[in-house]
Amino acid sequence: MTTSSTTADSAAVSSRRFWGNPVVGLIFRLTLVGVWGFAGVSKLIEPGGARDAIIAYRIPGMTNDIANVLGYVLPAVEILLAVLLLVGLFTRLAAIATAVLMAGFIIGIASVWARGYSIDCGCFGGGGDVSAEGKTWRYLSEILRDLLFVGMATWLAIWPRTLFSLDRHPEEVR
Amino acid sequence: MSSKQSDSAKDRRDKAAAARAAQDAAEKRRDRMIKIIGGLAVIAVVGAIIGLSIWQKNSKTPTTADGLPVASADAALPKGVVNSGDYAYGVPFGTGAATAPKMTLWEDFQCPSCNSLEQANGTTIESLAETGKTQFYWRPTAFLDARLGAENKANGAPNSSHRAIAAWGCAIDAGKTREYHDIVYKNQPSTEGTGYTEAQLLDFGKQAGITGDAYTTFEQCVKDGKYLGWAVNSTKAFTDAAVPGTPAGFLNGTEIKSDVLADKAKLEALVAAAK
Repeated sequence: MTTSSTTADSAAVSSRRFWGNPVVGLIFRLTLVGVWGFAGVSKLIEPGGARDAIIAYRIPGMTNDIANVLGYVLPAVEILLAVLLLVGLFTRLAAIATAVLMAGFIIGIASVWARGYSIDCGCFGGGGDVSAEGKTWRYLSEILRDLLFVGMATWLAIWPRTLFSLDRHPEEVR
Repeated sequence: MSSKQSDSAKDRRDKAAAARAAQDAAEKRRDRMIKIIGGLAVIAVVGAIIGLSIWQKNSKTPTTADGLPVASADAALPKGVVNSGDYAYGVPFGTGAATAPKMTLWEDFQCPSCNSLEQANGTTIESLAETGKTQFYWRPTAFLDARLGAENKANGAPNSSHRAIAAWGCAIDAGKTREYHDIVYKNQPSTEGTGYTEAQLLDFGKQAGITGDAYTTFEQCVKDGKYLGWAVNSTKAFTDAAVPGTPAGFLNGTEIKSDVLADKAKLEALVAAAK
């Protein structure tokens, strides 16, 4: 009797608590599912995958062959992360991968910006050179947006326990 | 009874501990099962999504190879064009000596921003070449045909980028390299994907000043698609070099920033500094 009431109490406490809240975590998880799903599929349906978008970043040493392979590997990884986060399996791992990948995108965007090119980030399909008009705001908003996603992913890496997930956390279930 | 009760208190604790251990083990087994089965299911779903996307894309995009020759080193080349070296399949233009800075410009006749560049600064690029300030090569690519295939076909102008390049090759033979190039851009359709019909490509030759016997040769050359193989080869060179889109200008192998390329004063200064 006493045990069940303390469990109920701690559950009540944990649902009120903001940091690590399983409902907030669920919202973040599903947001990242949407981001990765959309990003992955829109890249895949482009001719040649994301090859052209990748080349537009002018990464030193980038060749046609590397870009061709990456052009399909990148969207595949994005879709894999979307599905993992959707069902809530290996959430912590998927969240860490998300944060790392997003950090890479931020570095990529910051680097083309610093080098003075004006490109479409190709984040959700498209890509390539575009007019320099509104360049500052475009790059800045893309970086801020990706930082937001890094924040969500970091949250999930710290508190991977969210509502409706396949992951089991025995130490918390007990 | 009483001793049994004290026994059973310990018993209960042991039993509870055993039950908990069993529950933990069951929990762990279930967890492992979920991870394995779930992991496999995730891989299957990802594979299906990727397969479907690629299948859907392939069924939508007509292949560039549609009616085009395959890349071959034996393909016919317009006058002055070579099939090897750093500028293979490029069109040399102007009077630049071998010592002048080497400038190249990748363009697709169907690319709207190439047309913007041509209108904004094409004259500067051409006069730098004509006055020998640069050793200049036009580098044609038809990469847009892969994207505009459906629109091109619907307008009765399939593979317009390849065909425009091939027709330009015929005009190069007739000595109208710059004229034909400029006229194609001047007549670029306002809607990307409309493309160029054969009648248009022939008419551009007339506008470029090809007349008499030269025109008969030009006409036959365009109709035969004599230089389609060259267009395919040059496009392959573009792809292999991982050029980031069009227009792309290079000076001595270094990419020219687009704002410099489109600006007379900035481009002239860059070329002068490269000497």
